[in-house]
Amino acid sequence: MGENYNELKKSTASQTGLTDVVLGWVMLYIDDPEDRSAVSLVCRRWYELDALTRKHITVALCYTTSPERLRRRFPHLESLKLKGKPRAAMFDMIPEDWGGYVTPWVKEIAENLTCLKSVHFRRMIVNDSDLEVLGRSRGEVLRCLKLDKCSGFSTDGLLHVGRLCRQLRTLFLEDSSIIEKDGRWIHEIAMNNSVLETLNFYMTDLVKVSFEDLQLIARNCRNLVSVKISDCEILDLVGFFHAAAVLEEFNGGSFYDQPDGYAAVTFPSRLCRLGLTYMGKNEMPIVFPFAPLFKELDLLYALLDTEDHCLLIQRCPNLEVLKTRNVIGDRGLEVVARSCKQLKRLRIEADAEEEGMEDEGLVSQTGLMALAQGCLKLEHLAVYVSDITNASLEYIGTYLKNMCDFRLVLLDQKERITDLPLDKGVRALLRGCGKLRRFALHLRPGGLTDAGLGYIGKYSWNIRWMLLGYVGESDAGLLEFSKGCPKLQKLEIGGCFFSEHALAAAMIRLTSLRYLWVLGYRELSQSSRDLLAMTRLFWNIELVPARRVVKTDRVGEVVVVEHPGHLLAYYSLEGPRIDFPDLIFRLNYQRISLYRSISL
Amino acid sequence: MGSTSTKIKLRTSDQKVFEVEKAVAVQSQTIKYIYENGCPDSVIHVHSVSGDILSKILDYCKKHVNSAAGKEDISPEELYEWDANFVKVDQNTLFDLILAANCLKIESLLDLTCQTVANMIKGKRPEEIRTTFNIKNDYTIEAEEAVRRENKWAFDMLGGVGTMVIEELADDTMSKCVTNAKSRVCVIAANQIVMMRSISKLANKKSIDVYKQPQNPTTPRIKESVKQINVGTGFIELFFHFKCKM
Repeated sequence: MGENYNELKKSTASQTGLTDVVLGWVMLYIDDPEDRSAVSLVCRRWYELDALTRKHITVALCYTTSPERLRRRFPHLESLKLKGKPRAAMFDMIPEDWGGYVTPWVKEIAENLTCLKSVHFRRMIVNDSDLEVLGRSRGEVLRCLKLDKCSGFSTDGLLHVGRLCRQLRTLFLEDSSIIEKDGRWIHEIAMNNSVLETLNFYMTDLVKVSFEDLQLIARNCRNLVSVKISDCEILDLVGFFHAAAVLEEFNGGSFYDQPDGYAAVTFPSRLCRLGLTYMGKNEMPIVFPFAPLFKELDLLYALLDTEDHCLLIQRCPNLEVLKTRNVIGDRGLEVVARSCKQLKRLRIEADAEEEGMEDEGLVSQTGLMALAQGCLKLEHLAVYVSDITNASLEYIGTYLKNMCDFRLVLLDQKERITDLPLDKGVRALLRGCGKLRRFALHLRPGGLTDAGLGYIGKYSWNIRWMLLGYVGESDAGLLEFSKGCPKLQKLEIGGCFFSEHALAAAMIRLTSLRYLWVLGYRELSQSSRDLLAMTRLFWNIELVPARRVVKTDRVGEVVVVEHPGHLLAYYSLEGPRIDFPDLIFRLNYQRISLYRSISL
Repeated sequence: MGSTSTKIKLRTSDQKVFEVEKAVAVQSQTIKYIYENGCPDSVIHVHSVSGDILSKILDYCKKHVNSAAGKEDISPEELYEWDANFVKVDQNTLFDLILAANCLKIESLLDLTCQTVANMIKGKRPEEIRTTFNIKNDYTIEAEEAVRRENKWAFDMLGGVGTMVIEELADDTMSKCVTNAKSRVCVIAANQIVMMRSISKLANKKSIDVYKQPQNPTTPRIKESVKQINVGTGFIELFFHFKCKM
């Protein structure tokens, strides 16, 4: 409140005695973005007070606004989250140089956003020089730096962070593509930082990190609570675990040695959130003594089968978060339903290999029904299923009243699905789960009729984000869908092949929509003339045509991948962007003509 | 006399003097500091607080001290209720209490009073907030629209009045609306201003009945009366007076 107080005292009182001082204090108790939006629209002075007292802003797509606009409105911002590339970038569907450069934002932060303490960049391109600028300008006050699924930087950039940002409580690099030159950056952190609480370089392929530096960090940072690292032999971490007295969360490590060797590993006593990479059946017993304490368990990279899952999970009655693959099977889900009554978040991903899967390692309606009846506190559910019925979705709608994020993907393994289309089930689920804010449904042709798609529109009162794949049968379904969804802000559609005309009509009807991403759509004309119906003021439309990409896969073979065309459209106050690669062409409202520059 | 009944004298801005027990007065960190570092015998001036307000504040402090010390048999729920009744005062008194609680540094009272005013703001639309606090809207239409756009598109803030647009209505609903003033015009989703295309006939109407569909489809529709009809370039804006919160 300190630096803002003088500004508030200077201004005149309003008619009622609700002075700026009083209002300034009261605003600190108003956090909800919708309330803040209303507050900013009351009158000009309230707009200014909202801007002065707002601590955190999330810009869901960095191109919707500009760094200058952000700074002009929120000059005292303390925390910023910026997102760049579309979510499809996580599945390799977006060109690397699509955009989302942090450089202009870092420049603004360095020059003007003097109160900024926390920065979170997600799916953006970060250069080493950006990290240097950030470190030099904000290094002394920066408490939280998150480079979340970012790319474009190397360990040299992290060296600047280690040297200059000595007050960091949180350094988060998870799933970023980092060019590794050496492990000096972690050494700098070990030497300079004594207040680190969260360190995360999970899923980054950084292997030159020395465990001695980790141990030093654990010794120096008495508040180190959460550490997630890349692969590192667990036996080398014995010293680290010994030093990290208050550690509660650990992910990573690896098991390269014989199982008996791990009996001597002692974990910190408060450890309750764990994910050990490559943990197999034989290593599993080392976590049994801790299992009753577990609040979070990450088995995505463990090497356990269905029986192992059952043995482990039945020992975890306090589990709140579970991430695993569908090897857990229906039987494992039944154990979860019986044992984990506190479960709030469950994520079940698909195994990479789909051949040779026995029925036991698959999730279907049986598991879902058990889960619905057993884990009533569930709020987030993401699951890849091999089979599904309407009844199982009805169960979810009946029992899981706290559900706010539901994602279902129907895998391609089985040719015949027990019960399609899922119209009734989806309707029951949406009507029952009134708190749902995020919803994803990825099926197959025949999975949902046009009527079913219409139900989604009609019953999604609160949903802000939706991902729909292979739903509906024709344009009529999309048009019916678009009559509803009153709060839908962000829509991603894949594999549905609606016509451009229908997409344009739907976009206009979806009154809250500010972001639309479509993978694969029926191009009726070479020049996308029908899409022109979608053009309007402030709406940027970017098209990437279907293309063939030559890649080298993990085993070194050269493969040609067919990417269908995709469309990205979003509201922006800044007009069309100029930093896009040649691949993309845009539809521009002002001139109603097409800019096309595709490199051949 | 025993130290248990030490009294402190407080003089307010309007020259009223209050004598209170030390345990009650030092709920205020400001008074506590002055007492411990100043002259305990003379009177402490609380310049920025009036007699009425101080009187109320001392009631609050006394209640909380007594309940904490066990002198009064009152459960946490009853204390919570007492607090809720304590803040049932007119707005100006409430604002004065906030200023005084801040000045006297009584954290729990500042919390209570600020939260009360915050609750008067939360969940409301801008025009409702203006009515509550009797505030004049000094936005031009363009400026307001610009802020709304920025909130909605850039800064992740859904909500407010939500001037969203439906551009397509079935033709037969439109003809019903122009021919029969009593008939239902259109069913729209909650919180929306309807902008209808090419309805030049509507421009001549002074009033229209519109039915609003609440977010939950099982709730019955609500009739709204249209306050104003503007004709724009190919669009007609209908401004509704929202009577209920969605």
